[in-house]
Amino acid sequence: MGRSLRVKPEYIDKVKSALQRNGYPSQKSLADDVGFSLSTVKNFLNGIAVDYLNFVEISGKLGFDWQEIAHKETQTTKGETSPFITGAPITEPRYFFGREKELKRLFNILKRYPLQNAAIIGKKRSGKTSLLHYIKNITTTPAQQLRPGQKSDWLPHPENYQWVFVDLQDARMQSREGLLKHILESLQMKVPTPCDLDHFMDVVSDNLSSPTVILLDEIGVGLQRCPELDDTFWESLRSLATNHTRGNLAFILATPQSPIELAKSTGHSSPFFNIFGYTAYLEALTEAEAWELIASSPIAFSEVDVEWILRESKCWPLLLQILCRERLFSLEEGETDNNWREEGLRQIQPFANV
Amino acid sequence: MKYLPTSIVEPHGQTMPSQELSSTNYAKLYTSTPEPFSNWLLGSLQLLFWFVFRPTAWNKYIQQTISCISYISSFNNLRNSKLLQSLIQFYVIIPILTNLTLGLVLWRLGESSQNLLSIAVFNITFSIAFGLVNSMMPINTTEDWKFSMSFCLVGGVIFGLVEGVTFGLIGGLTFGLLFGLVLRSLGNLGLGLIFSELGSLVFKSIYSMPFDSNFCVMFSIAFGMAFGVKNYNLNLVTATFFTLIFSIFVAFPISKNEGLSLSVTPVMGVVFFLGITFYIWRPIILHPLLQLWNISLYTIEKRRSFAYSILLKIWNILFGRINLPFGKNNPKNNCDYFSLLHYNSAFWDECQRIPLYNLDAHLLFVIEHNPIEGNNAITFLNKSHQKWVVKIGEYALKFRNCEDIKSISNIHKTILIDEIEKLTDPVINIFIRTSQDIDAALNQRSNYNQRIALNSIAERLNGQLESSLQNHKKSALLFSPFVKIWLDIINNYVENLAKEVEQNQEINNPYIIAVPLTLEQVIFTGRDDIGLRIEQLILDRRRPPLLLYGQRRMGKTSLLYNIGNLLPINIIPILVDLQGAPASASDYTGFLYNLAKGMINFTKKQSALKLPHLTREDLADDPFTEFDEWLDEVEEILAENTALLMLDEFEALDTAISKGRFDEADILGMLRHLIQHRPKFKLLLAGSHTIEEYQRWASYLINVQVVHISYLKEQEARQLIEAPVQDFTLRYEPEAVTRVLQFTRCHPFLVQLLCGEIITLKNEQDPSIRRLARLADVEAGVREALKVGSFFFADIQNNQVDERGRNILRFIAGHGEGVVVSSQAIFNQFPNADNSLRLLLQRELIENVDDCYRFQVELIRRWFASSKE
Repeated sequence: MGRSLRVKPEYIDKVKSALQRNGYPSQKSLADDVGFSLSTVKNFLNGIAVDYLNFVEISGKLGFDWQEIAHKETQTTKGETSPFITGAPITEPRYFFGREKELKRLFNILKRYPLQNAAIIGKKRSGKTSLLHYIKNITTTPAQQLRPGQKSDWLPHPENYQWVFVDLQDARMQSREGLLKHILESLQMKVPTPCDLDHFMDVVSDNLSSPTVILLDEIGVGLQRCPELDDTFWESLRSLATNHTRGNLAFILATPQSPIELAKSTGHSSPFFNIFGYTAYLEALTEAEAWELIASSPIAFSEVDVEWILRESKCWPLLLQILCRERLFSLEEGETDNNWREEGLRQIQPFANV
Repeated sequence: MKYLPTSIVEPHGQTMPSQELSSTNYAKLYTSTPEPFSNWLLGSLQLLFWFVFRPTAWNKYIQQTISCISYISSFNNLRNSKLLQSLIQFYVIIPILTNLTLGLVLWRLGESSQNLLSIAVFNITFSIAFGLVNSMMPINTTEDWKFSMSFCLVGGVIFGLVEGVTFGLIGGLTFGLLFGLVLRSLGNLGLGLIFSELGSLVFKSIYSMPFDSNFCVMFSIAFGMAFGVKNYNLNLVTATFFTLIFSIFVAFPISKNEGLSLSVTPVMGVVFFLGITFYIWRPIILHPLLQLWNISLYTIEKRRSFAYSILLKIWNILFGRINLPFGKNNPKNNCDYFSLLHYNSAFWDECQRIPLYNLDAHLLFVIEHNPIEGNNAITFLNKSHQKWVVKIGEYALKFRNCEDIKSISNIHKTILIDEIEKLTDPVINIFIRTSQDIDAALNQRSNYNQRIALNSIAERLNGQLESSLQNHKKSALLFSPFVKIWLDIINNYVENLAKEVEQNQEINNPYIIAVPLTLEQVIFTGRDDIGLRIEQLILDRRRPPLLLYGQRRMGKTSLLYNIGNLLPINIIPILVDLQGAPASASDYTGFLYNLAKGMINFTKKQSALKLPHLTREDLADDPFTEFDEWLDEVEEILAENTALLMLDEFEALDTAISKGRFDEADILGMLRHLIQHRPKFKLLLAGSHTIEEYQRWASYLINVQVVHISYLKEQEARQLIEAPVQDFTLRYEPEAVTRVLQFTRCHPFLVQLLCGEIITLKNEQDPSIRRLARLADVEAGVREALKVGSFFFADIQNNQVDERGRNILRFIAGHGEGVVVSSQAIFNQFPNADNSLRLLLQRELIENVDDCYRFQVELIRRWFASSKE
């Protein structure tokens, strides 16, 4: 994957008009909201390449699926063989490393009835979304698309499982109807009319018969910014999982907020978050996991470089990926100096606080 | 060559060859050159036996004796008792013995005693004289000795028999001396011609004693046998050739010189031929007898009968050469096993060329029970005429010597490919294929796959054996014990693998947290007392509505799911969760439809009752009336039973009313109507609030009886910790269990949370200590539980107490585990704390002890002790 993305030409107008629709009176207000420079926002809106991370974030703010509006050409032309992914969440399991302990716990609670719920809590850029994608995909990815020896037999009958990925940053997920529709469509169930909670519960409780996991990414957004997704909504989901699906339904949520911030309920009945009996906190990778990531480079790094990358990244996955990407890039270019280190440090600067 | 034959020169029985580390030296048993008995008489008999059956042993013994003589080379050394014994045996005892036997036979046949005596006298003097001459002369070739000693034996007997009295003592003496001298000086047998010519001349001239025809015949036999024993491996062609030579150059001249009739020459030739081929025809004649003997031996051995132990005893007592235990033989211990195999004629009749029936069976039987002995037997047989059995024996030995699965997997590598191709025996092929399969199976990386592969190999091996047995293959029968040995090894290995897996296997976490337990989960524990109380209240004629009241995560919903098991069969529990569809419905139709649907679904799952169908459309026109009519139908179906309608999370309905979605008079009025006018329905609400906290409910529902659900009883909690499911593989030290109880106060959620974390921690530990939870594991588990269960604690902190309550909790928590804080201290810190304290008490977070307060649950205290404002 390359390092930057630009908006597809045919989307430029839509992107520009989305500014107003999403409540941004000016480009400056969007830039302030996301915390980027005005020029980045301008570049984005005018179809000029911006950094991956920025691209994804701005797309989200404007209610777009970044993959949909990204210009594909840049993806294919720029070093597609690089195994290091730095901007977008990792969706191909072979590029995902670490989190063995968490995966074990998570799949342990998903592999028997009733399915239990789990929360993944980690700072921004700690790999929550990648982990959710990994959970969703790893058990059904064919072995030839995995690294040799990569464990994938976490579940006894992975083919029975249904996975629904919900990114609550996605504007379409921020309304009741949109979210419920997305879930029903992902489960290949008939969307009732009207598609309200009442009918949604009906359809799901009648039709759900195989283990199903709903992955809720950035649930904090859903709680804070979406008035439609209120206590009643979440309590209904809770009731669906606990009482109406014979233990077949579980939620896994990912959020940077702590449970204290998250678990604020305004009602008196048992709140939604009370069903999350297992919470995993994402920290840095273990050194062994970091080693494995570094070793996946198609051109082997010298021991000195590996040590340096480990030290500078403190084993945080994103920093590891960036530094590895830089090192690999310089090796591919045949550079012999240590400029890549400077570049790498500059690149990780924005994330140094994570 | 001059060498020192150890077996003769060394004092008998003093040293043993180094091979004799095991209690039995099989090499001594299975040898073509056995040691003679030390007993002179028995030794002589044995020599005689050797002469007939074991020419190699005979020749060897003579050779040893001779080399001993040449080594000593003087009469002085006759003090050497071994040498003396050999000589005396050869020249004195054997002749006496043979003559005694012969004499007895002749006596029975009517020979005069005088004749008998003279035969004996001649015989013995002949032998002694012969022997003396031989002993005095310096010796060069052992070949001559072999011949002369054999001749001495046979000649002594035969001449004595023929010559009778007339020869007598003198004759015997001189004849013996003469023969001895002539043979010694001429040395080589090849010069027999000259000898015979000379001999006849000398005899004639000195004694003018005619060689009658009888003498000639007997001489021929003696000469033939002596020649035969030395060259016992002659084939018939060579034998014929020698016979011709003998006839032409010996028999013919003698008979001619003596003027005997011409017919004597062919007779001499024939008897010479018979003598020379003695080791060819003798085994054929004896074969049936020997076969009978062998089969009996095998039968005795297989039955391990009385006869067997007797045979062993005789062997031991008489010869004391083998250290055997008597009686019981434990086949499992190789060293103690001792077989009768060496009695088989294959091991003492070396001239037997006809294959001995069942020798293979006997050999394999011995290999099965004692491979060391079997190996020695095979080594022996390899040099014998019964070589045919060696190949099969070697395979059997190979298979038998497999001690473990690794050696089995290596077997096929020890057999050359072209050898495998040449194999015709399908049974041996089965073994080799099995070995290859096992080799492949062991290359499987995962223990599980190895087990699967090995199991199927074992099954196949067994099946192949069975089918071979059914086809009456002899080799299948012979090899079946070895198949069993292999099967044992394979099965043992698989068993050990399984054990290893079990040992390494992680402990299954049976706990289910934060999700209600339905009937499918066996982990639901206890609560009998609550069931009993609910039952009593249902039977109460005043029909009070019930409230199952308990804090969050105390197991209310799990109890409701499982209450059917705690109540009499005529009470039909019907559970509806108000938090879901009913409360989220947008109108009464939706609410009542979802209520009915919940009732229908639950009864379908948990009881045999089938409630009538109800659709939204049915309800649409007049929801409450339609629902009421539906309830009538339900009552009919209930018949004599009572329905316990349980509405879980009743607070959710209150929220809906508060938001104005429903009118309280409609909803709560309907519930009151149900309580008052439908005696077949009992109502149970469940929630974490009391009715008093919901004023409007209190006014509609009169006389609500509260059923309190709280911590588990200690016994129930212990069961949840130590035996949550059957075959739970984690044990707790007693103090560890006590500590878990202290931390959780038997709170069902917290017990499961903490124990689940302990299991996770244990699974990360080495398998050797994995299965025992200690105090330290509990402490480590607490740290993890506080993180993993943070939503539970966050809910308490955020939603169940107010700001002041939180601060009071932190204040009390700061005092440490189990510490009580006086109300005075709390009021000093928090003036006007009354309401907050009351709320905390109501939430069952703290308890009042003598005007002091402390946390009810240590784990919750730990959370607040570490929580920041």
